[in-house]
Amino acid sequence: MLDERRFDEWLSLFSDNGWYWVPIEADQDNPFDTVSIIYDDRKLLETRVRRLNNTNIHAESPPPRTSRIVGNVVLHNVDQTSGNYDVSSRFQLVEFRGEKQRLFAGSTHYILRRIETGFVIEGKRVNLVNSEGMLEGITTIL
Amino acid sequence: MDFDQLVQPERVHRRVYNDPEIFEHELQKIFSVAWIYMGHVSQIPDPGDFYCTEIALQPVVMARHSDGAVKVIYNRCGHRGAQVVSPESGSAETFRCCYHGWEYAMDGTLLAVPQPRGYEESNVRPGDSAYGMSPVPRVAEYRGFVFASLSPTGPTLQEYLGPITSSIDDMVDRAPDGEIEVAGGIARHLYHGNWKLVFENLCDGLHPNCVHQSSIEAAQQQNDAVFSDGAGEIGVRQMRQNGAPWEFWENQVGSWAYPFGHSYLGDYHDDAKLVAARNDPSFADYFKAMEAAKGKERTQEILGVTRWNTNIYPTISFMSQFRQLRVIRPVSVDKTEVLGFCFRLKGAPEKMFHDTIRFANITNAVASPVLTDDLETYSRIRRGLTTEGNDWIAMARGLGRDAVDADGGLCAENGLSELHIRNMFEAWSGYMAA
Repeated sequence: MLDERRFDEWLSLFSDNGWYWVPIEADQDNPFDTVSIIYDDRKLLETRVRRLNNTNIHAESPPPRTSRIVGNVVLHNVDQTSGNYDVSSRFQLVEFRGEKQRLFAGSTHYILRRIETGFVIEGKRVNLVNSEGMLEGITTIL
Repeated sequence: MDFDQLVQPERVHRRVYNDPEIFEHELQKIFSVAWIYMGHVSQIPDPGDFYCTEIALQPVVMARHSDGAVKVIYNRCGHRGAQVVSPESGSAETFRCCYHGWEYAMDGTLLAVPQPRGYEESNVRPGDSAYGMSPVPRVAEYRGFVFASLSPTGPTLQEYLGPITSSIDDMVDRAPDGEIEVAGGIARHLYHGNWKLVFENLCDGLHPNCVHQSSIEAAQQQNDAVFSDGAGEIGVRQMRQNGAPWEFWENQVGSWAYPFGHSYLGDYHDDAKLVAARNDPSFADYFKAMEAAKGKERTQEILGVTRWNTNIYPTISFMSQFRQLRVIRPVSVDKTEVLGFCFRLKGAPEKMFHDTIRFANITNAVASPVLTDDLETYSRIRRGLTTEGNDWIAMARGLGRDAVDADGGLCAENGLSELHIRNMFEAWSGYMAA
């Protein structure tokens, strides 16, 4: 979905107070005390996605092309009280923009809530293997 | 090389941004001479604490010695030359080289050499300075901000900072307990462009409306009723503020410049818009703490300072409103690293520090909807300057319209001036001519 730049559809997968988080520190336990590569609450996530759809986004002119493979999907736990599903996966993502190709890799952790028609994302955390390194600007949603 | 020819009153030659030979001269004549920011004392509170950084591409260690003094030593073994301290920061009893186990104190003194037998006829002895980790020639601090210089002579730190110390005062004075501390990790990024570009950009009031158009429009269209835990409140407001009308930049912001290339951008946000200190009920505790510690009048005076970014040339840019500091490290003529640090005001409510983190995520994080457009711009400047159609880059806006400020600096006509760029190149020319 993200590789096809269907950002609005992706956003619609999140709950009304869902969050999207890419920490910097590998063992970072919350997004409030330490800086992150991305920490978006629902409001900021909407703005982020709206910007990706804006034609004046210089950092995406030309837009990057991406291709990702997701694997090792594991259901860790179903919380008996909240009914939330704790799910993780691993990914590799190739991004090409301008003349440059980059490789991102890491793990993704979801908190999913069961609804009648399927699931909504309450939270998505992406741990990049090189999150603590010197990175160049990232507009691609991981 | 005749550096004079490269800088004119209203424009500079493109070579100062892309000529590797000039970059080598800058390392020698600027970065090896000027006072370079090392870090803040709160990064090394106790004896044995250290933080690794660099000066003019050379690795150095800032460390707290057993006597409590802050030391800066070259990160190089006195024996075979290996870099001794490997983690970026931490705490250690001694520094021990990975190669043959030579051990050093925090001030670089050689403490012990394993298997000393065999050195009897040589000069190698514990305590011999020729075999220690050499100290850099000069270290000094101003209110907890540590600087070092590879030049044994030259202006003192106080002389070098001059009136721009008032911006450091502005950072520190906002703490009810009178102290600030580095906290919250480091936000790093790298861009493909010359190191000067980021300094020029950080006090450039003209660029946000154009560079940040996508995030400004996205934020303007954001429905405020949508859920936010605070991240969106800070982030969306900051993006909107970048789209402030031209009259705001012309009439309210202002720009000031000082000797040695330092400068600051003025009143970018008023409290009602972003800093939110005065009208936000959650800050009531902060005002109470400030007034209890400093009195009503002094508190008003401290919080009445509304500076945006301050550049201390050629290494840091910082701002008190959200307690951010960027360290700019050149890597090569067209590659630059930026390290973003956050400060906590001691004695202030923790919510203010959370806002500091939220703001850092928007302005310093490598995937920020704001910063990424700046980085793209630097990269395009790098590519644009490879063309031979025009050798010159303009810094003409506001030329001839500066006024002399009360403290000896220059005050630009308004916040859209390129005074800060002309001022940095005046300092650049001075360094390069020496």
